[in-house]
Amino acid sequence: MALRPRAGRIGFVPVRFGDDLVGGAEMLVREMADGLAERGLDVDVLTGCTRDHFREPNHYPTGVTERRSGVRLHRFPSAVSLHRADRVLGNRALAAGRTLTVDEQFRWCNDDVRIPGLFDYLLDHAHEYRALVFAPYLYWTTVAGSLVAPERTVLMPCLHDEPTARLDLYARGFRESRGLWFLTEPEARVARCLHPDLAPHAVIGSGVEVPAAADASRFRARHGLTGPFVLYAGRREAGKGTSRLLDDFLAAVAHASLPVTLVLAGPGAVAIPDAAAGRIVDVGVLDAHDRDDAMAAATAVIQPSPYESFSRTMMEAWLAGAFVIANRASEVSVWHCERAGAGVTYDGPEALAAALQRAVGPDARDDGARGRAYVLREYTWPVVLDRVEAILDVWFPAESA
Amino acid sequence: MTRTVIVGPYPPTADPRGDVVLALVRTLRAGGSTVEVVSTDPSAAPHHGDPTTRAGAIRVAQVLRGADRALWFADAGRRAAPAARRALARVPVVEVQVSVGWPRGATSPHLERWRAGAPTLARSLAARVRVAKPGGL
Repeated sequence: MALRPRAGRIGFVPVRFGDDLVGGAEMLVREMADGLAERGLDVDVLTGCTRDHFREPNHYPTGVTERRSGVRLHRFPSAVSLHRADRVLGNRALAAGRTLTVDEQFRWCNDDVRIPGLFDYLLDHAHEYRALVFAPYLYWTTVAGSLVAPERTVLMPCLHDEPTARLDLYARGFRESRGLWFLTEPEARVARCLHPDLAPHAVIGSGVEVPAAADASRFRARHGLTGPFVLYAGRREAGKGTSRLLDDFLAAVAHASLPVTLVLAGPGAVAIPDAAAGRIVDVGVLDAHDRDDAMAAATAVIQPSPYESFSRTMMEAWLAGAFVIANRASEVSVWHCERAGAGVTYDGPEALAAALQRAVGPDARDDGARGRAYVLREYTWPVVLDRVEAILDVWFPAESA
Repeated sequence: MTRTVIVGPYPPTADPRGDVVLALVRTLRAGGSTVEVVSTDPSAAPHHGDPTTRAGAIRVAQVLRGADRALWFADAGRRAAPAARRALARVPVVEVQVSVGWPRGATSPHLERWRAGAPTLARSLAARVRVAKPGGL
């Protein structure tokens, strides 16, 4: 009876999937699925056709296609209600700190993108999968799909402490899944705090691609940047802390009289005050190449988000050897800085000014090098996929041949 | 092949009867039936419509067309609207499960008991589909 350690199909179930999608969880699922398939595992991605939760519920065509990595991509029609009243009202209530009844929570959940065809497919085919990996916790696909075969379900929640994390509707997935994969220990701590009866879990981390080469001077030349600059690369939205960043940055550079520019890159609108013209530069969305160039060119990379479950941005910055400045409100960012022995955290303009002074100081390059060593040790894809395969073998032992 | 239409709560839902319906769907599918669910609210079912409202009843009636049997998980005191009643009357076999409303303030132990009993109740329902007089709906 020989063991077949790579036997059995693995299914990944994200709410949306596409090479053109930006977002930590989306990239994580895509790269993990491709990586496992390239290692010889039989991998499916089961998802809908949505690209944008509100505007494009059926952007991609339905059907089955095969990716270059060998992953089979199954797309089922996505459904959304026309009025979305339950969703909008629920979001307002959550933003205002009000609680939702259990009924309201489920109505809020069901008023997002739903994929009934995917649910039906799971009813008929879940038993054909060795494991079904759902990510992130927030979406309908995870809430509904994880009910079908909890004994085969791995929940990769990408969790941080936010109002939605406390909703009862998610408790079952955290409690009844076969197991959970966390990206960091602080994320696991949040989950244990919210769900004392948490299912078995492991911290697997998230992989990041090591860029082949980056050209700092190309980025500087293209955007006319000559002096030191701090880079923010990510979605520009309130939850990511971007508006607060602008205020903190302007106060910090004024406080310390620092000749530093803030460069904003990424999707989403941002309102730059007139008084900050020249001090804050918006370069818009960058492709992966330009992003690597920008990271290499930056004097420092800033992570202002108080809500992080992993912070891919910090890893990419360290891989480029950049000095990292992160919001102290994020336990994940603090955890990374402590483990890496690199980067600094800030909690307001004064601390940010001190961090910027360190970023332009002589030790910044050594600090970045320590960060790079940390990422290479912990978060390259080969390292992370080894962890994933090891935990799959423990939770879903290979069948005897 | 028998085509069964189930009208009632379906996951994901706070209503514990959703687990019963899901277990029933699994049981009937395993037995070779074609099963379609019309959930009262949006859910993992491909159709939704509340049979006690006019618009929902029309939707329910559309799905019931051609069904060999129907199971309706009804709330006591809430009558199906005329379109749904007429459609149910045309289905050869109809089972109605009336609940005195599920306990909306239910605590976790209540819900756990419902869930634990769901597969048994579903097997029992699948085994004994009895005829109900449409006039009693």
